[in-house]
Amino acid sequence: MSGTDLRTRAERKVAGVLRKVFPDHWSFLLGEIALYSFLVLVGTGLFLTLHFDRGPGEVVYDGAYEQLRGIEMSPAYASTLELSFEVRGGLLARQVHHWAALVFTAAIAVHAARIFFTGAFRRPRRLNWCVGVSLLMLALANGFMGLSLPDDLLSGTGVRIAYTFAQSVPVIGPDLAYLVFAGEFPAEEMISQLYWAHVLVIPVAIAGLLGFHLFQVFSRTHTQFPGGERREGNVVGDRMWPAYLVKTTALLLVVAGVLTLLGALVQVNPVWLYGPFDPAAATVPAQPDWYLQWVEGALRIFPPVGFEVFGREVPSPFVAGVAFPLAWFALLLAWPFLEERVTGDRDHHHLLDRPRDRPVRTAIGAAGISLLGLLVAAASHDTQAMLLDTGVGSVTWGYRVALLTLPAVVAAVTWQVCHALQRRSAP
Amino acid sequence: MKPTDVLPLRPWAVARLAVLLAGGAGALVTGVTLLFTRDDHGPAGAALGIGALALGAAFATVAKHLLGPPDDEEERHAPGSPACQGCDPETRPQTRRRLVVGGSAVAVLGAVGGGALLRGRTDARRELRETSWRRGDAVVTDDGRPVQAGDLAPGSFLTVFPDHAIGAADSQAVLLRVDTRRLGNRPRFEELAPDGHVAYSKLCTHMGCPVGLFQQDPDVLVCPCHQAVFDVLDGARPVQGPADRPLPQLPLVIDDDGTLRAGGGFTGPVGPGWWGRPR
Repeated sequence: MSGTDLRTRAERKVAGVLRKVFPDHWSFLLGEIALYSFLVLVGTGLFLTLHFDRGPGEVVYDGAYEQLRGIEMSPAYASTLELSFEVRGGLLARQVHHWAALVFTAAIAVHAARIFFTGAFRRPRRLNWCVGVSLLMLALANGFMGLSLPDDLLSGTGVRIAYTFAQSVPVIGPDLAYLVFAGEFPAEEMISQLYWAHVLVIPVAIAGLLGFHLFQVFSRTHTQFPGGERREGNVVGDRMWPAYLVKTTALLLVVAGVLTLLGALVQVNPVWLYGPFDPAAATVPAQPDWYLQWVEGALRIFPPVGFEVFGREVPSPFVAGVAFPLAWFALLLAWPFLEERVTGDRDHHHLLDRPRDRPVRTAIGAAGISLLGLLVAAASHDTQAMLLDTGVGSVTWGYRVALLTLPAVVAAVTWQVCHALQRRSAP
Repeated sequence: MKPTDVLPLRPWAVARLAVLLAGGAGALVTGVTLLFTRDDHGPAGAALGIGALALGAAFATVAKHLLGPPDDEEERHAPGSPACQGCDPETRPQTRRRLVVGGSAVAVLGAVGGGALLRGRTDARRELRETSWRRGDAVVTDDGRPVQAGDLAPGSFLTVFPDHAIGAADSQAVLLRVDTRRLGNRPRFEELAPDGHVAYSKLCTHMGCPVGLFQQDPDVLVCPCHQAVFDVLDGARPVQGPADRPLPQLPLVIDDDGTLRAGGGFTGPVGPGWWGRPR
């Protein structure tokens, strides 16, 4: 093959990419918001790594924040204080990074809900749904590790709880805890190990999977809602160049702008107020960031039932902290295949469902969201008990009753609403 | 490109674009200047954020008012669409076989790698079981001060460590002084708790948080994380909340010069349970 042939082939390929058509709908932007939050995370994160000191050892703080001067702390916490009070733009970068993490996880969650309710996970996109769920899991894991790095009192309590979850796993629990957290809690190398996982291992995994996710969107084409000229066999929307690229650049700038404004004006995670981590102290009330609260809520509400297998102990945190989240993700991963089995629909679908036209799926999804919402609310049940001037025990029981009834009620109501909407939109 | 892809230039759209571009660039320059001249980050960040938003609005203006509506159409070249015959990797048998083989290979590699990483860490179980407390260790506070019998007024409470491992997370204990008259007839308790001095592991048996709250009447220790409640007068038996195991007790003795010392290690493994935890 001659050089000219190669060049024309490459040119044709680029021209084909630039001419590719992408459907246009506001809900298709949710995944892009996640993508651009990730870019902001990488950018601010690179800046933060320049100033963060992962240890080991202890230092006596003598920096700009007077209230903590003379106190012994880890280099991680001291350098986070330095970032917050002495490094130019440090606090801005920290807060934008934190807000970007909150938006990143939220955008992935809402994006996944959109995919679910419109049936976009069906053939030929089952694999890409699984890639997306994996990305959600990695995002949650990396968010947790990022929260842990400042080594303040709040984050240290969170790591202690995660350690106990790891330790509770049958057979390999102690080994797993030692592997992930570098030894008996709190290990000298723990922050350092979490650091490498947070800044290198998991981000690279996210970037790789994200690339594959986008490639799949590209090669298997984007779905579209029915109506107008839109059919299974065509794609109607914006060409990659110029319209799609201009629009998506606008979105990138808006996401970056909103995150910068949030980081500039709305305080988040003021670690200097919590003090350095001390294994003999804890803060109350304490909650993790929103995307981990469903697990914290489960831990607070699920009956603390430890049990035995072959005479060996499976301690109670295992059910709420390990088995339940894993079962939840397993259900998400399996959903396209389960639905295919139940409905017998093995066809390829490029046109999206309207949620009302799939009442059963929509009802199940709504029930699932109500369950997660209850668990998020339950993550601060001690504060609610205080506000209601009642015991934590009665609030716990209130949540238990709600957990068993509300999802069913939500499912029934959603199903009814779907049918009512169907009747109304029928010709 | 279709002829309709670019709309006729409308003056007001061009004007808006110019204002947004100029304003956005101005705000970004202002933001950078503020960042390097002021010590607080708020105004600088706000200017940078507004600049990015203005530039985003400029791109949106181009998309909405200068480019055509999203009505371009092309044939779908995807698995399952008519324009694509035999290009469905999801149902092609060799692809499926490749996926199965690849998946199994990854699983085997993962299992081997994971096993290799876990090997040689068998000391985990021993370390989880043991603490630094040995028979005869002086009981000291977190600043190293030995605790004398009688230092503590009845009803008060201290966090203590063995004198050779101050700050060791797994060895932290709560030392309480309870009114011996309220103990009633609990001979074993009295044996471990001379003169009302009683010490328990401070690691909650639920999640491993420090059990940091002491309340009187009834005398209970409360874990702040998930509100596990332990009865101080009854061997730290869990009486409410999610813990299902008492806090291990630290036997205490008072030596000849009145110093509190450990009479041995904790009565059981401290903190949350694990697979294979000895009873």
